[in-house]
Amino acid sequence: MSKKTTVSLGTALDIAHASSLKSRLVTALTKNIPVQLTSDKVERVDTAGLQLIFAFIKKAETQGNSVHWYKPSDALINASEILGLQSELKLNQARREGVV
Amino acid sequence: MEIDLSQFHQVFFEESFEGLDVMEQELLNLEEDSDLENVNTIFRAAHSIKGGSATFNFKDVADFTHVMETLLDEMREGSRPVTREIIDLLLKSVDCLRGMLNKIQDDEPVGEAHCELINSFNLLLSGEAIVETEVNTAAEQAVETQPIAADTTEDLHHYWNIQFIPQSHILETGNEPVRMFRELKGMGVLESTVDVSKVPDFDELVPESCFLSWRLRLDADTEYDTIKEVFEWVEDECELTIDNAEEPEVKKQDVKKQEVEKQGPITESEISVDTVISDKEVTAVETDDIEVSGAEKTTGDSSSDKMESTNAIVSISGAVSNKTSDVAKEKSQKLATETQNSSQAKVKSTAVNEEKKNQKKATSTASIRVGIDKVDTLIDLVGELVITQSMLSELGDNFTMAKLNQLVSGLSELEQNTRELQESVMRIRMLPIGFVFNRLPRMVRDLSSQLGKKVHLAIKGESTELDKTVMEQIGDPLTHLVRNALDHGLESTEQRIAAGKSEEGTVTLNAFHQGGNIVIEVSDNGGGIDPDVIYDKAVEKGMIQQGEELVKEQILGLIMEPGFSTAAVVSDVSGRGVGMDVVKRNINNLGGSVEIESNLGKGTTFTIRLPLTLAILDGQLIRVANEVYVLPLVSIIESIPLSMVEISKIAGDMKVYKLHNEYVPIIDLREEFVIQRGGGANSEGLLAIVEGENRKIALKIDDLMGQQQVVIKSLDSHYKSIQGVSGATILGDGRVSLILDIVGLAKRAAIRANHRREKVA
Amino acid sequence: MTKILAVDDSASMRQMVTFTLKSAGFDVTEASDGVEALKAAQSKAFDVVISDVNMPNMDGLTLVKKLRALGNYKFIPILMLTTESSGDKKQAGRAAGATGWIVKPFNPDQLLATVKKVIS
Repeated sequence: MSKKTTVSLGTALDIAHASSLKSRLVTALTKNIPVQLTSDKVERVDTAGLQLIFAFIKKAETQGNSVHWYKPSDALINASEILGLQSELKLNQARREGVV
Repeated sequence: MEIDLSQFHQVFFEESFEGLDVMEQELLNLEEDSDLENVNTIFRAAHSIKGGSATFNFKDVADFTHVMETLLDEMREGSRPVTREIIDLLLKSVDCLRGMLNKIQDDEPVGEAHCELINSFNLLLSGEAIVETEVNTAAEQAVETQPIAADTTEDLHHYWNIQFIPQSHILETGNEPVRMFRELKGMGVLESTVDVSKVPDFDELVPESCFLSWRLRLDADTEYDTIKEVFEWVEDECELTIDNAEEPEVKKQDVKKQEVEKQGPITESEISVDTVISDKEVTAVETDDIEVSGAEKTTGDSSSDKMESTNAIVSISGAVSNKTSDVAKEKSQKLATETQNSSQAKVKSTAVNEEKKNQKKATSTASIRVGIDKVDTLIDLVGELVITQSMLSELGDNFTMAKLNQLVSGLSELEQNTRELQESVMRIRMLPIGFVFNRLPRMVRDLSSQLGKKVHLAIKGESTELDKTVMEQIGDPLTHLVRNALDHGLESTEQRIAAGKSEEGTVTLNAFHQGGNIVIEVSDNGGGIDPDVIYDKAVEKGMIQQGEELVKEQILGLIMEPGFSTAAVVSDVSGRGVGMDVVKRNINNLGGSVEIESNLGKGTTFTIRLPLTLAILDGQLIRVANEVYVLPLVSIIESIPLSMVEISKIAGDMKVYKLHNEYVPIIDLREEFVIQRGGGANSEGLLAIVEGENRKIALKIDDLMGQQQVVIKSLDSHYKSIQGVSGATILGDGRVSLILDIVGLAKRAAIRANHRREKVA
Repeated sequence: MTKILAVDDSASMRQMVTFTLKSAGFDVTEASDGVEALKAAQSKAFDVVISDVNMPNMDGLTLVKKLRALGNYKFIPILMLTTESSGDKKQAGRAAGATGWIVKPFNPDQLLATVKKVIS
């Protein structure tokens, strides 16, 4: 198994926690290795949270590192569908494949 | 959810009356000093009443306060100057609203009195034309929206294209696209396509800002307005287009309909109430045609149609209004039959109505607003009481005589706790007298302009507290005294100038605590009362004999006796309602007294002394044979052993005691209350000299016992009222003891003396 | 349980709002003006704030601005109870940072529907 770093999204992927999450994501980027987003406990999801993850995935991929979801919660998947972000966030794929 | 709004009505009435008092007071202040904060306070009060009345469906009040508020808003924003006319109009409106709310509270129709005022406001506001204003009440809204929802089949489309481009700060105020889209999804099938092209690079991204935008396709039987409503809170902070995806013809119709709505949204929606019922069986397309033409017709000829639809609304709006109209019908029928009947029957029915009203008032629970600090003090005290109690019960569990000292100190602590608790509980019923004082400036304003006198009303000590019940009952006497001071006390402007006084007369209200009493002074700097004039008048009225010797105090006191009026002509001002004798009687009924002090040329002062509370009395226990009675401590002047007293007899066999230069009638309480001999046969007995309303009597008793505070229980409510007894109380040992009323006892004695005199003669 | 702070200087309105929300199972705290509300907001973390606009001591708009300046209340839903149906008055509320508004007069059902909407 290749080297990867894990970022836990906690229970709230929302605007109130967006700033602190961003700094943790910045740390993950500096490691320059694939990232796993642990998201099994996510209950609260909003636009700011998903937008941040989108920008993060895009950034990581330009660096050449992949981002994987670990057990995305229903709340997370629902919100991304409602916002039409599931393919941008690679969540439709995650769902199909189950645990990545 | 079914929530009965009527449970909040009482609170609404209370706060509205309070708000009206505030408005009145601030309006009067405004006259002297127009301050923006005053206008704001007035505005807020009107605004609150409007909001509440609309919520609780008091439409007349809501409509009325709406125009008031509009004017006040202009004043608040400085676009309308504060003039005497406007203040007059607003003051009148305050009176009118008070009347309306009172009527609503008594389930009576509010009448038309406010309509004229609404017109005055509209005239002021528009400068000319009278615009009809409507404030929709909540119930009406419900009635209006329902039929629209049921009648919009022609407006429902299946496919909608929505473009939503929010401004970046939209998320910061909690407006969440997820929530909005979810709401849309609830209407049908939603497909969202996001545009991520504006999202900056991760490093640059401000996580709280929104850079996303969406194109949504909604597959739902819904209408334009329902979709638009989802974006209501953000419509000024986004680009929003809502389009019908297919069926362009329908869309055209939609536009047409919107135009009609623009012309007359209210009438249009009302009309649909009518048509829903009648057009039910017509097919959808047909309905559509009829609907539109109907609406167009309405815009052309609104008045008659509007009448109809208003009727429809009335019939739908249900129980409340139906009931009122039934009551009104009944009333008018009653009135018709009554006119044929004798006037006696009429009087009777009004009396019955009056009675019903009173019953209603009695059953509605009065509430009292208490400062949180007072409640906190109570909680503290109860806490201390609990500690003392547990300390005592522990002591009792294994008591030995060695612990006697502890017990004694524990009991004295308990006594202290109890007393403090009692005082604090009493304080809960205490309110600042400002509540009563505050209604006087308005009266002074109206009265002074009516009398053509310049008057300044000075108020002092308005934070002095007294019992709520006492306060409720002191209002009328106080109002009368102030009225009297303006009318009779103060001279006319010309007279004042001639006497070298300032043009403006002053009436001063003052309140302060003194001992266990509250003292209220009403003084004027007017001409004062001439005792000689009073004396002559009293002789003329047959109240006293010519040549009878009276001190100045007694002469002045005559103006408060029944059947006395000094004004040559009973004036419109003081002549109506209660007389000074009634003022005095009311104050006496509250356990208080009035004194008059007057200096010719300088002015008059009425001093009212009232007990702080009607519920507790500082009492002196006395013993007569085996019975214990309570005398109000304040009434006792002195007590003398019978052996040292010289008793004389005057006028038949009336026993009197000579105290200084005065003969004081003696009342033997054993005789008075027909008590069997017994008890203190060995004691020689005492004379207790007591005073009430400037009248002294001597009570023959057996012994003075302790002094204590007693809680007064009314005899009226438990038994019946007895002259000479003001109430009863329960003593520490559980016995019931009667509280003696000095004035009543003196009257009993006087009546008996008269009987005797008549017998002798 | 969702904690709601209800702010209105009118006791009847406050009671109506509180009663309605409590009946629906919310945990409701009352405040009678902005100053009281701000105090309450600092001693308990509310999930939603519902406030009147015109109030003595501190009005609703000032309250919203001050709440938004507190960390806990930066993004939570704040609803204004307003009798103003004119656009600019509503926008004043939005500009101050309110999430949205409920126009008076409203009935209990309308209130609940709006509150449920913002907490979903």
